[in-house]
Amino acid sequence: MNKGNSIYKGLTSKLIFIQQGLGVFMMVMLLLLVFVQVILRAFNAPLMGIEELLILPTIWLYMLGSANASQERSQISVDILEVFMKNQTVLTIIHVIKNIVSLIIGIVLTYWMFNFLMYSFDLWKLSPLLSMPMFFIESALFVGLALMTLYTFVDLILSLRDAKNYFGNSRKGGGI
Amino acid sequence: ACGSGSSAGGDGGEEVTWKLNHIRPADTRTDKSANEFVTNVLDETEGRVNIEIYDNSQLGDYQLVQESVSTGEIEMQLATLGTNVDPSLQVAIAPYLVTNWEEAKQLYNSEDGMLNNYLSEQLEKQNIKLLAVYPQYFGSVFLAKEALDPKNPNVSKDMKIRVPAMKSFEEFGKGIGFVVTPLPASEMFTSLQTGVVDGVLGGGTELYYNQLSELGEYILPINTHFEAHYLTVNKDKFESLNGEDQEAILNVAKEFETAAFAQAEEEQNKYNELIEEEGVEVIELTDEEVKVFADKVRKDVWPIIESEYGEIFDDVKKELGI
Amino acid sequence: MLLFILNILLLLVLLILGTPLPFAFGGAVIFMIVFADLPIITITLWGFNQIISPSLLAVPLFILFGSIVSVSGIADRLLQFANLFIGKIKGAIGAVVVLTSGFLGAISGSSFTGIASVGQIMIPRMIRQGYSRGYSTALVSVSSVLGALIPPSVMIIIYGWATGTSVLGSFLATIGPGVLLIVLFITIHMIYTKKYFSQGHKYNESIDDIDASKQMNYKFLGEANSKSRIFLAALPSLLLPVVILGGIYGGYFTPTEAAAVASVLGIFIGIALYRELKFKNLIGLFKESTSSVGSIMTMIFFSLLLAQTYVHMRIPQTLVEVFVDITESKIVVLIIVTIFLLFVGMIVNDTTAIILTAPLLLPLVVSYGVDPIHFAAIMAVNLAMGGITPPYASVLYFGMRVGNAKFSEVVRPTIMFIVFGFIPVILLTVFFEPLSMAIPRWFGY
Ligand code: NA
Ligand code: NA
Repeated sequence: MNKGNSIYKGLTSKLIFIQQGLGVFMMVMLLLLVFVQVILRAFNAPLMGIEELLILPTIWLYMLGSANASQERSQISVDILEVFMKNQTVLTIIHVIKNIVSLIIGIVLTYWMFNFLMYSFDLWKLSPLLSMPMFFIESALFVGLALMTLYTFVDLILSLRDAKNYFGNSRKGGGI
Repeated sequence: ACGSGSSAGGDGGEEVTWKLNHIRPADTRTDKSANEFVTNVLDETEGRVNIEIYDNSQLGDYQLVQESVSTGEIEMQLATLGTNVDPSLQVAIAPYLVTNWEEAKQLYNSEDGMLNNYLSEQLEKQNIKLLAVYPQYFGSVFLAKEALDPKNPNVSKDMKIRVPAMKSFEEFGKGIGFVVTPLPASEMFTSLQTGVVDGVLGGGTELYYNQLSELGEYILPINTHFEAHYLTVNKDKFESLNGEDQEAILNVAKEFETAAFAQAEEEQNKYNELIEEEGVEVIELTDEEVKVFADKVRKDVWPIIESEYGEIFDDVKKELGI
Repeated sequence: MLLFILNILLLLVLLILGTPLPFAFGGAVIFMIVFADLPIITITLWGFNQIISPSLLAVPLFILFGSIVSVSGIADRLLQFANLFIGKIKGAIGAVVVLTSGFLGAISGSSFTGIASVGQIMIPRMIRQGYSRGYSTALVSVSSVLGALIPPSVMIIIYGWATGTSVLGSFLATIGPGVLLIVLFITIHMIYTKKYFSQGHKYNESIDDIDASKQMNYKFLGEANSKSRIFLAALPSLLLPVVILGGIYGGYFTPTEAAAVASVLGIFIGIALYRELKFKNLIGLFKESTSSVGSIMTMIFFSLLLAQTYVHMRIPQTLVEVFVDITESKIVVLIIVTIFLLFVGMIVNDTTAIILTAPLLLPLVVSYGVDPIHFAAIMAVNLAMGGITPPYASVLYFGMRVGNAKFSEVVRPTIMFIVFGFIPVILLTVFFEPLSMAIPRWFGY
């Protein structure tokens, strides 16, 4: 159990490192490309195709960034129940239900994005100006969704463990 | 409304409900023609082929919906041809491929137009059937300020204009004396308004009238390219109809095309008048003056862009006797 | 239509359950695709094309710029500067909060920049001066909403982009309501101050200057007196709106480019002039921004897909038909739409609300003769307020975190600002057209 845990941690920390590093890289690229284009245009020498090139860091930034957010649990959500609900038992159960529902949605969406990935691969479109294969751009959707779903799965496991501890303890407490 | 699915029909075979995407707003000439087409198809197939119209690119831009027509997720479209799957289709809007309505009819008509044949064959490879051509206009140049010697393509205009992000139009813009900035159509308004560019190439007066007229000073109607929409249908869906219904649709499509050719020239003149009322001057050009532009582009620009299109360009030149 | 209603209910359940927003909208999309038999690749491709649009790039870049503003010391300098003018009057501190938030609004695109930067500095100071923690937090939170309302505004950029309405014109339409809101907030605050401290609460007049050490890094100014130092320190920050809004309206950049230029300038100011931003922090700043950008953009992506399923089902047209059957009156429709928007603002955030409702509502109100630019202002004030209306009050909750306040503490003062500040502005924006339209008309929109 512990050994498995540490292997898992090693793998995910590498994954997270790559994901965050790439995300930051994409954001810097995005900022620089837009900025450079403004400067070039001021000198009447706009670079052809920068707008098209921008698509690549844009979509990867969005999807990797969202994977980061899922991993950090900083995805935006309506935390109305946490604010108003005081009953810890109900909250624990709802937490598990939420994670199960999210995981199911995540799996279906990932599956769709996989189909979309295959579609994109078969069609192998090229971007009009730079002839970039759109596959490298459109594949970001699948990668992002797959990572988001992976972290949702981790969350589900954790919330199940919490629930087990919580109900385990309270049953014990009730028994005495 | 149910989706693209079909339900078992009454007497004469299968009843289907199709989606048709077009890229013009409601109540435009194109929208009215599309509605007329749809009504006639419903009549002629005795209610078996029911087509729902989505105007104004509601289902997506033309490139995207063409992909959907190809897969059959959406059945029909009336729009510009998408060229990201098959760039050779760009030949349809090559600068000065044709310069007047006579030449346009000769090359683009569905019956025996050589360019139409070519487009049909290419589209068939995408599992798309070309039903009809719907001419829109000859392209013009929209100017937000006065250009130097506008009627002379050999003078540098010292003016930055937007061109569609295609090599052919970039070279074309440069070839007639402009500094070019490739931008998507969606950026036209903002970039003109903010002065990023001082003119627009790649559309026609109708487009400029609808989207840009408050920003402009002049229209240079030099018939830059022939803009048409193409009525297309997913090939499998079309062929799954019984022969009678297929025949009926083809007939309705033919009427649709003939009527459109008859309207188009008149429509183009109408928009020239409308935009003048908005205070945009349409610079008067004789056929000879337009030909100066055409000759210059055919001589200087075509050699640079020819390789974009493949062999079809040679066939076109032969057909036009160039 | 039945599917549509079921879909809204499902979305509500998913939201209340606390599902992360991308998945909540994704779940609603799954429901529509499956039960309405919609073309999934077409819709995915459509959403993809929308999300990579260059004009939408203004959104992530303004989010990045917001983070830069929060950590670069820009807000501190602005607060010091505002403090110069209204130092000693009783209650002046609140006016400083409101005005600085409004000014930050003129450079940032959303509500959060204000809370993070103004809140951290000003909430403790207000408490030291004798205000309650709940009131201080509420004031900062409601003022931060000005960030979403006063141009540049991410919400308006999305509105313009989703509906094809002029972004520049719509920006101008929000200035009137924004300025009125500033005036009302300051008025409410002064009246409240007078009442509050006459009820036996102790007012602590002597308050240290806002972190005087932060006027430094202008050593070359040597002898200059403290006031001109504060001014000089604030000058680069004061010039930012000139660059951003002047750049946009002067035709030098698009909103997207303005956000990029402002980000680069903000980093430069933070590193070279104020010396508060270090290279090490910069990486951290970008890392945090990728998460917020990612979560917001995927949420936008899935709400776009959901909105598009409605288009495939022809819901906007059906909605217009339903309304036309009910009433011919523009006023009635505007009342219904406003109440609807207030409700939407309670349950989702401003950007998704715009994406989901603008394509549905704009054809409706336009068919009753409402100008799309006027409607931009109507949506903006309603949905900006949504940031502080529970249950989904993201701005207020963030303010509570920064101010370390409990919901029960902030709820009364927040309601006071809603009733006497927001509601009058909303009513005037909806029914008194010149409030929003005078400025755009003057500019020729
Ligand atoms: Na703002
Ligand atoms: Na809310």
